[in-house]
Amino acid sequence: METINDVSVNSPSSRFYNEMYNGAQVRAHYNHVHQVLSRMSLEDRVSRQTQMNGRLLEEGITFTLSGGDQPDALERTIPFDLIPRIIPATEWETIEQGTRQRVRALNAFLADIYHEQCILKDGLVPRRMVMGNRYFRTEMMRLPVPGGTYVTASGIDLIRDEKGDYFVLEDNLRSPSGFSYVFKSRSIMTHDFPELYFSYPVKGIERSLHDFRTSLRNLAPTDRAEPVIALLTPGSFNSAYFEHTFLAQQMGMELVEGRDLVCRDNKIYIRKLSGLKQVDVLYRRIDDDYLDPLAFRPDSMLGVAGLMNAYRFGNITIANAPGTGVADDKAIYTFVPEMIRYYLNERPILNNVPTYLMSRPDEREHVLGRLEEMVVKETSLSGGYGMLVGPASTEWERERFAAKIRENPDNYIAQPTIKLSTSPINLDGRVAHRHIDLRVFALADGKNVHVLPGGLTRVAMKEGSLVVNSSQGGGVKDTWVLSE
Amino acid sequence: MLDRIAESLFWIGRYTERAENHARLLDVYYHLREEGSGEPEAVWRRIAEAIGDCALYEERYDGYREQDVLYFLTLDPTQDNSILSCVAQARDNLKKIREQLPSELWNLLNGFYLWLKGVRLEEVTQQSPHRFFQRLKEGLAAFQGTAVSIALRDESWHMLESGRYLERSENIVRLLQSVGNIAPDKRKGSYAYTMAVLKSVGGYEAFRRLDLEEISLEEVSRFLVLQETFPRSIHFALANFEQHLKAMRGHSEKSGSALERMIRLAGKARSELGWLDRNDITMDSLNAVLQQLLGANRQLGEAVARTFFFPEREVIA
Repeated sequence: METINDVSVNSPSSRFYNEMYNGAQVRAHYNHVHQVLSRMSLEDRVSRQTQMNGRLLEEGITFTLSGGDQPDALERTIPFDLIPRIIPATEWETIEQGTRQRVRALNAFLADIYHEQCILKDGLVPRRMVMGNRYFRTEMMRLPVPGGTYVTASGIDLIRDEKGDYFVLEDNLRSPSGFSYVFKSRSIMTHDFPELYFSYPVKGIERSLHDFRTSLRNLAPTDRAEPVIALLTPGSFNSAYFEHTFLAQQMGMELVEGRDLVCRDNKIYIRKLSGLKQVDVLYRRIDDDYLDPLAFRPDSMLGVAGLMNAYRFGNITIANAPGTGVADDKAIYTFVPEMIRYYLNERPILNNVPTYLMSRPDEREHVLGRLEEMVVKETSLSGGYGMLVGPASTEWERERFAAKIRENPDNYIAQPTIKLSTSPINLDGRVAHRHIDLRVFALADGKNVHVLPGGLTRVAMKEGSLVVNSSQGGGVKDTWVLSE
Repeated sequence: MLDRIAESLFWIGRYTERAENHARLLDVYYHLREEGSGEPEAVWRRIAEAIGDCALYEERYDGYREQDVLYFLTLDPTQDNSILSCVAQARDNLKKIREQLPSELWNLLNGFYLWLKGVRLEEVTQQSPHRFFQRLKEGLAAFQGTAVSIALRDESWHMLESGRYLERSENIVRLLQSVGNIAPDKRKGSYAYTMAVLKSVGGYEAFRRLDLEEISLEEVSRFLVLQETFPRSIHFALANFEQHLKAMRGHSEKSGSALERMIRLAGKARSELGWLDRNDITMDSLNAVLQQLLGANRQLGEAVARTFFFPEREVIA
């Protein structure tokens, strides 16, 4: 396809909503992008892309893949696409309101589960599903948490169906990653494609880092003017280490590993050359299991012994709180619209994707009869691992999965194969269409919920693929929210 | 500042300095051959001796040839002291502590590393080795210059710089030793080498400006050991190393007494140089002086490690 205008040749199949084209028409808010790209020659588009890829590499904006033993082969830059994703102001309004509502409900749910458990007593959510959940932490029962906030940073994944309506695909409430890619994508667009960026009234995102820091600060248990905030990372071999350093650097937090911390008198200190420095807020990017060898996994070297005691004594805030995983479990997800009605007495603004629980016999049989049309997910795995994508699976894979489901129905949910919207990407200077989703980031501190304008648009780089996760080779686009 | 961060900073300083010294030396030595001492084997051998591990080299190759030596010293990732390895080590250390230093520095060093990793030896020898070494020096100078220009002058800066100066003083000692090893009967013919040493540290013009007439190994050694106004002299390096340690006093209570001991050690090494007279450095005493300096450097390196990097582990919960 030589010119970008030649839509008819590879006009996207109408089964999916296309972000840029409405049939053969360009959607109004993409008009200018379309013009600019059409005016560029193929070589221009290729060289512009190359320039951006070079910057990604130089700045070391990488994602380290787990597994393998070659230090060099592991570090990959995230594929970045130069065609931005644009969200009109009114559309964003809905997303923002819906995200805010959802985060408030999820926080209310966690506070309820770890205190009164009204929602279980009222029979809205099966008790077994919560209490038997691998992410449920008895240590958190009846523990007052600062600001009543369990989930400080969350990433809500949205998709669009064939009509263009937004649905929530999943909630990431433990340690969602992707913040740094949002900011880096924006910086690449402003530096390497300024003529396009500045021709749109795009909402800035710089403030969100400030909001993030403020949210963490407001959770400090002390009334000290400048509480010490530290980011706890598993270390430089972690896949998201780039993100950890980025956030620490941009927000002026201490970046620490477990071995840098020590617990004394139920307070947590950073061991510095100049002596000990007490930590007030710990923004942690390691899983519950590894936080404290005395409370959780005794073989963990990543956390700090005594952290949970310090937490229980109210000497430190942990964000996100331990035990939030119970709310982002893929089976609990089905109940979020209920939670919104139950706790907030509001109508859900953003809907769930229809989801079948394998633990309900009739739903299970319904799904097992149609595995080739379904996407089956393990409830407790994230990052695109442990999935069966029905339409793309083989007979043998489906049989294996069916056996797994019958063996452990509680561990699986199924959804009709979702219709992710597609967006044009620049592939070697030509336009191709790929599936995308949107991870919206929200920051809560008990008083407010800040929603980062835009978020992370993830692209499934393989043709026809529905898996957008970075761990599976997904790419990203800059996401622009228009302010008018 | 955390112990592991201090350690990484110290090594970033050391490795960037080492890479620069190696690049300078190779550049000069490489072009020295054209002055025709007529024994290419010996030339390459001396270059390898000056900055590499000869035993390792001889295990791998059966003779000292240009291509092999050049690869071994610049681009061989399996040789710990090659320029590529030094840059990679500096980058790895910086990667671990990215948030401690301005991101401009990371972008520079990472970009530089990626470029160097992609260089093929054929390109170097076919085009112009001088151009290649020039680029090496410029890349490292850009890193150093940017650091000087924008890095916060807190404890992390002093850690970085103390690594740099300790490395520098050690490199100069080794450089002088490698020239001093030329057999006495060849001393007369070692003029070219002496000149090369001076040029490799960028000190030739400075040497001239100080009206030092005679370019002899004795004079050049005196200059590189004692000349406190020249930034690549041992005296200058040790004095700066001591200054940076002193600057850390305010930041470091925990290692107070250990730090004071270190400052005294560094002060002692520096003042001993200060008391040295020109005439104390002669052809006969040079070796002993250098040996002593090497010992002092090693002692300081160990002391830094003891003071900053290996605190006692404790678990109190």
